[in-house]
Amino acid sequence: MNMTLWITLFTYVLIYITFTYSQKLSPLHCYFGVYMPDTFAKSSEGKSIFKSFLIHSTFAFFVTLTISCILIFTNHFTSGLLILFILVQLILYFAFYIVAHKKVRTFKMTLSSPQNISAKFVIDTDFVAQKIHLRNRYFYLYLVPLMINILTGIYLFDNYKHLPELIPTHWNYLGQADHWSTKSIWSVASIVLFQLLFTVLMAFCSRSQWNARSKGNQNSEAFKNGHLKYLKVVSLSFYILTLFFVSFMVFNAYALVTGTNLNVFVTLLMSVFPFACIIWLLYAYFKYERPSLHATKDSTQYLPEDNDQYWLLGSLYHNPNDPALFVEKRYGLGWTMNIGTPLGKLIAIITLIVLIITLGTAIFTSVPL
Amino acid sequence: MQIELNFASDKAIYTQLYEAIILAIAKGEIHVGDALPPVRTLAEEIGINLHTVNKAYGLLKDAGYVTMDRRKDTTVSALPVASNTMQLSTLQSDLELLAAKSHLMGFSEEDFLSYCSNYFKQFKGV
Repeated sequence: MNMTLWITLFTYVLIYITFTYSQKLSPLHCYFGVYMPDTFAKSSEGKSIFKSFLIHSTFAFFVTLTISCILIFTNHFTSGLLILFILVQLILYFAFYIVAHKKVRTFKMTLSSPQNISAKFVIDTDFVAQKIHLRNRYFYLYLVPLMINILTGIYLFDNYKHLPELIPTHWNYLGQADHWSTKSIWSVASIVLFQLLFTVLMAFCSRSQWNARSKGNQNSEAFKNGHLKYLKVVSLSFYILTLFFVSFMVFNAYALVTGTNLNVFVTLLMSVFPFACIIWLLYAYFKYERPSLHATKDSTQYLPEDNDQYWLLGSLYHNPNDPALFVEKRYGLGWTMNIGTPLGKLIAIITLIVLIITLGTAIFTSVPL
Repeated sequence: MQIELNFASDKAIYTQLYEAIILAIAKGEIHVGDALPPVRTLAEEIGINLHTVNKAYGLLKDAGYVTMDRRKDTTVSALPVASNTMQLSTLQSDLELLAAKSHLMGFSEEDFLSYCSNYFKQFKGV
């Protein structure tokens, strides 16, 4: 029961901090998804909107946490309920975000010169060529996890005949098998498929962020150097994460074939390492990217995503005239997809379907915690 | 090379791109044999439609400033650019218009030639 409490508390706190502090990590000129002068965050109106948002979100956090704790202590908490509560929190935080977003938009309409978007764009073709060169270099590195993938497949295929009829398909945080399935091509191949899916997704994301635009002025050496350093850290962390995950799946395959437990140290590392990557990425963002953008904040570039008209609630970007698949998010750190492009629409639809299926399955196959 | 585009200008983006690349070649910011960025890369970087970049590259190719090789790379052509009678005639009429505007604004012939001379000095060695 204690473990359940800690996992629940940790997850809720992580979600709460990420959502409420996303505004502090948002790009220049973006306030709750609206393009505003960069002084707005420090203005009395801006501070009041944030305070209101924080109060609502904190209240929602404590209410859901209290209800969850009561259910945990009375042994009524299940995995399905945990997922449901997380969903409820996300929906509530997003609703409060929409309220704040609308307040900022209403205020923007009262401004005499609402947008101070730069109309100029400077492109440095040598800088672009450098980005492409590095993009391709990091992309070819993914041949290594792909090779590990193939070797895992061969290893499992070779040993398929010798596997028992009931095979372990999930291991807990102590490395002990806690779920079994009847042997089938699918249940064994799923390890290889997860490896492949992860490798392909990470390779694609890593490649895409080199193509993504940035607000910094390409006239500035400070911007170009900082931005490249940041992109290199992003690529490297994605790559190391891929190698880690693919290798972890190799341990899973070995445990499946030999019927042994997973090494506890390995499972611990696998749980901890993604967080280490997040910390590394945040560090790189504040050390290289943020200062590089601030170096040119008075001469920023014109970007199509600076226009409010292409954004739905400051969260979804829809611009069919923009060929870019990924653009910087307006709220929080990272990129979002341009659902105006055919590929963007396809990925959005697939993601939505996968989300509904996995959430639905998880809630309906709920187990007591 | 650095290209500056102005989205508030009346001049179409493809024209701005076309003219900026010609200037860059003349000033030696990009050399004979150098490749221009791929169409998709440039379009994604700026955030404009691929057709806009294609149009600019197409105009450059038709005028002889660039060639497209088998691998679909767009490279700067050897100088001087091969020009036909129609291109020379267009250049002359552009020059006539420029001279007329300068004259009507009060430029003297010497002023006009001095400006031209300064620009040619920038292009020297290319």
